[in-house]
Parts: sequence; C-alpha cells; structure tokens
Amino acid sequence: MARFILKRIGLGIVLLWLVVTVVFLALHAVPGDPAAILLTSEGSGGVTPEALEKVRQQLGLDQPVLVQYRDYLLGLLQGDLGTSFRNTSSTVASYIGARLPNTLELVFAAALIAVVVGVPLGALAARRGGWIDTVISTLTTLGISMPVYVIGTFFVLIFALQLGWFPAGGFTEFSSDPIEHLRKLLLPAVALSFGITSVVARMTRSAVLETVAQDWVRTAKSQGLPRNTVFSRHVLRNSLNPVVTTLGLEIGSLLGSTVLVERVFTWPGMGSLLVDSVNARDYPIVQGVVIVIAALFILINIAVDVLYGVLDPRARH
Amino acid sequence: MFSARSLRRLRKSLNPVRIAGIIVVVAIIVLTLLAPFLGLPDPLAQDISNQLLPIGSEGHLLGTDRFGRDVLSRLIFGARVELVIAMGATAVALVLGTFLGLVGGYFGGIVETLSMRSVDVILAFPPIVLALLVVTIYGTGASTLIVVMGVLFAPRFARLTYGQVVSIRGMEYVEAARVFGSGPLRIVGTVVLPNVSAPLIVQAPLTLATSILLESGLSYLGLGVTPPTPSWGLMVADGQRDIVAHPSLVAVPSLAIVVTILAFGLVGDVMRDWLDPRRGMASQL
Repeated sequence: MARFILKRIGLGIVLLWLVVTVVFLALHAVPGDPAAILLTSEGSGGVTPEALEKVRQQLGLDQPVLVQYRDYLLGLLQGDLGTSFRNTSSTVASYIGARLPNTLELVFAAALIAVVVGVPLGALAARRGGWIDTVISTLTTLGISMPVYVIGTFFVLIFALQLGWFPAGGFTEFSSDPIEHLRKLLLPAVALSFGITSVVARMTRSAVLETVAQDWVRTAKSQGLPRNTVFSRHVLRNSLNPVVTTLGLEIGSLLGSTVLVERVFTWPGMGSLLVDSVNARDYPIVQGVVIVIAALFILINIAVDVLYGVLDPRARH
Repeated sequence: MFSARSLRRLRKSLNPVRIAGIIVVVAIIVLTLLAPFLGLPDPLAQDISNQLLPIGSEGHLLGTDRFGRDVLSRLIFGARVELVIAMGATAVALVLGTFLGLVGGYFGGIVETLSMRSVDVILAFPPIVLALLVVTIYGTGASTLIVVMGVLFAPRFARLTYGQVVSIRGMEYVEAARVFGSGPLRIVGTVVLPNVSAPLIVQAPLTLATSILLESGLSYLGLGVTPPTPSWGLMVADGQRDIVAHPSLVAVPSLAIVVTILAFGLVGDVMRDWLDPRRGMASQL
C-alpha cells in the first residue's frame, strides 16, 4: 500500500512539474512585452526606453528565459510565486493566501451539500422507481445542463432581489459576524452544488441498482432481515465506492466552476482573483493562481486514487 | 451504417423526448443557416428610442435590450456564433485527440509516452482555468476559443481512441494487414481507425454541448467572443443589470443555452444506442 501511495505521489509531482513548465513557457511566449504593457497600463510618464529597461530589470525580464525559469522553479520550492505586476510591493503568494481559504470553503460547502442531498436522492430514485425515479432523473439532467452562472443569476433574482431572504453577494469575515458570513455563503454554495449533486445522485442511483442485483443481497433478504436494514447495512454501504470516486473527481471540476460563481456573487476567492488578473494582464498572479489550482486538482486526484486503493485493493494495480 | 439492422436499432433508440431533442437540434441548425434571410433587424443596431421593450412588442418579438437591440435577432445570430465556435472546437478536438490516441496506442514506446502524457497535462487543469490562461496571452476572439477549446477537449477523444487501439492492435485482422505488407500509416488509417470510430462519433455531440457550456461561461465573464458580437453568455451578463425590471433579458438567453445543451445531449444518447450499442448497454446496467 505504501508503495502504491508513493508511486502515485511521485507521478503527481512529475505532472505538477510539467504543468508549471507549460504555464511558465506559455506566459513567456507572450506576444508583446509585459514591461511595456505594465508601463502603458500605469500611464506613468509614457514608455521611454530607459523606463522599460528599469522595469525589465525589476521584474527579472532582462534575464534569459532559462534563467528566469530556473529562478521561478527555485522560488516555487520556497513558496515564492513572484510579485504582482500591478502592485510590485505585494507578493503573489500573499494575494493567493488571502483568497484560497474562501474558495476552499465554497468548494467544500458545495461538496457537503452534494453528499447530504445527492446520496439520499439517488438512493430514493433507485428504491422507489416509478414516477419518483422519473422526477429525480429529470431534475438531475437539468442540474447537469444548467450553467452555474445561470443558476446563480436566478438565485440572486429570486432569493435576494425579490424575496430579500439572503444578500445578493459579497463577503463577511466569519470572525466578525458568523451568521452574516453563513448567510452570504449559502446562495453561492447551493448554486455551485447543483451540478455535483446531480452527478452524485445519478451515480448513487446506478450503483444501488447494481448492488441490489447481487446474490448476497438476496441472501440477506432471505435470512429475514428487515428491508431497511438490508438496504442501509448491505446495499447502500456497498454502493458508496463509485460514489466516493465520482465525488472526488467532481470536487476538482468545482474548482473551475468557482470562477463563474465567485463572479456572480462577488465572492472574494481564487476565481475572482484570476478573472481580475486576466483583465489587468497581471501575468504573475495569473500564473500563480493557475498553478495553485492545477496543484489542488492533481492533489485531489491523488487523494481519490489512494482512497479508492484503500477501499478496493484490486484497484492498486 | 444504414443497413436494415442498423435502422432497426436507430428506431429502437428513439423515444418522444429524444425525438424532441433531435427536432430542437435541427431547428437550431436551420435557424442559424437561414439567419441572414429571415428579415431580422441588425443584431448590432442600437436604437435609443426603443430601449428595453417587453416581450411581444411590435417588430421585436422578444423585446429589446438596454441599447434597443432586438433580442430575438441577437439570440439567433448568437446561436450562429455559438455553433460555429462549438463545431470548430469539436472538430479540432476530434482530429487532434484521435491522432494522439491512434499514434500513441499503435506505436507505443516513446510516441505513447509523449502523446498520452501531454493528454495528462491538459487534464491537470480545470478547463475554464486553462482557457483563461490562454485568453490572457492571446486575447479574446472566436478563433482563439476554437483552438483552445479544441485542445482542451482533445483528451476525451485521445483516451477513447487509445483504449480502443490498444485493445485491437493485437487482433488477427491487424496482424493480417501487417503480414500482407501494409505500412503502419496505412494500417492505422484503413484498418484501425474504422474499427474505433463509433465511440468517437458518439462523443462528438457531447463535446459540442460541453463547448457551448464553456464558451458561454467565458463570454459571461467578458472573456469569450469580443463584444458587441452577440453571444448567449454575454447576453446573460448584459441582462443582469436590468434583471429586476426585465428578467426576460436574462431568462431568454439562459433558456436557449439550457435547451441547446439538453438537445445535443439527447442526440448524443440516440447516437450512442444506435452506433455503439455495446457501450449503451453497459451504461444501462
């Protein structure tokens, strides 16, 4: 088992290195000079050759690309992601450090909703069948097909602007006002969870249907166990392996969806930081955010693989 | 493809909902092809005297937006933009992915490592994040979107093809072609490819739906197609400013996105049951 985990982590590190290299090279193959873009956007005294040279030196852009690449990698190992173009006194790491917890909170709230709502919904559809199954299947199909920003926009319209139950967006520190913090978390988290809840419900449904058909379920029934006991102890528990895997993989894709949800609800996370930085052409922040999100993505995939290996020893090979 | 047996399977794969999906897809394609001939107002023409007209106004069936632009016209011309980008991206993904999967699966060794590891790298990013990275570098615009989404969705086709090729490359008929002296390119193109193509064709409408989803999301962020080109995602974003008084400005393009994605998904289901029946049955277990 330890070997399996180590091998998986090793592959993950190689993949992360490739990701860093791709992102770095992509941004350094930029058509146009970042220093010129920076000077133009600041509008400070125009783009003179001297000013350009000075900015290039400050940002290390006068070095050969390979040297910049080496420096960037060495910096990464020490948690140094460079400094922002717009605000050269702030490190990229400090920007990300301020935003990452908010995004993770949103993602885990959505994942929690997916488990609490999706698993019972899927189990219900599989057990009852008939019109209940049809209704749940239709709902989950809709949940998968609706863009997250459309769901979010209508949440704002209905629950914030018309009913006034929740704020339309924004963020309050948990430490300053816990209730307000949760009130502002709820709508974006539920909007974000629609897709993953639908996927989890579908996966649970098909896994339960598959498990119910197994011989040992018939055996348990024939021993005279109450139906509910058979279901909760034998069927549901054995159905959860594929559900756990799906959940893990979907959590990764939630990271992408936060970009849109954070925009709708002006939630100050990694996604809104990324969009702002793309608009401002702040390359170091874009680079940092993309690498951190990819690293999380890879980490989650490793965790899912390892968890699957623990749950099902056959998968280790 | 059109043998009696295959047609029977096609008929069996249809049900009312799926037929509705096919009709919607056909309708969208016809509408986008005919868009310039429908006598619609110019989707870009602003008309200050006719701002924010409600649904059902004379000459503006779905009303107008805050610039007095005709919503129906923007919706249909937006569908055009949406479909062209999604089809372009799907085509790029199909060709690139199939190529990577074919050569990786057939040749093995270093070719396999290179092609399948590059697929892993693409899959290490959430799609929208990688798309934003590319937009930062190359700016917004339809051609950028086609290429970047094509690359983003190539792994689906690459992995499908790869899996299939690995499973058939040792088969007798491939061996036979080799014995008869066919070169590797000829074998891959004329013997392997036709035998792995069904799941790829089935994957195409689903990729199209995903492309529409992603493109509309980027446009919603203002980082997809360049305004004032009509796009459904942009229409949702623009409509938000007037959502309380005029919710239809958001509802209409939202509905268009959801219905289109659902319809392409249904067409994908039909094609799966029709062309790739083994997989269809497996997923229904």
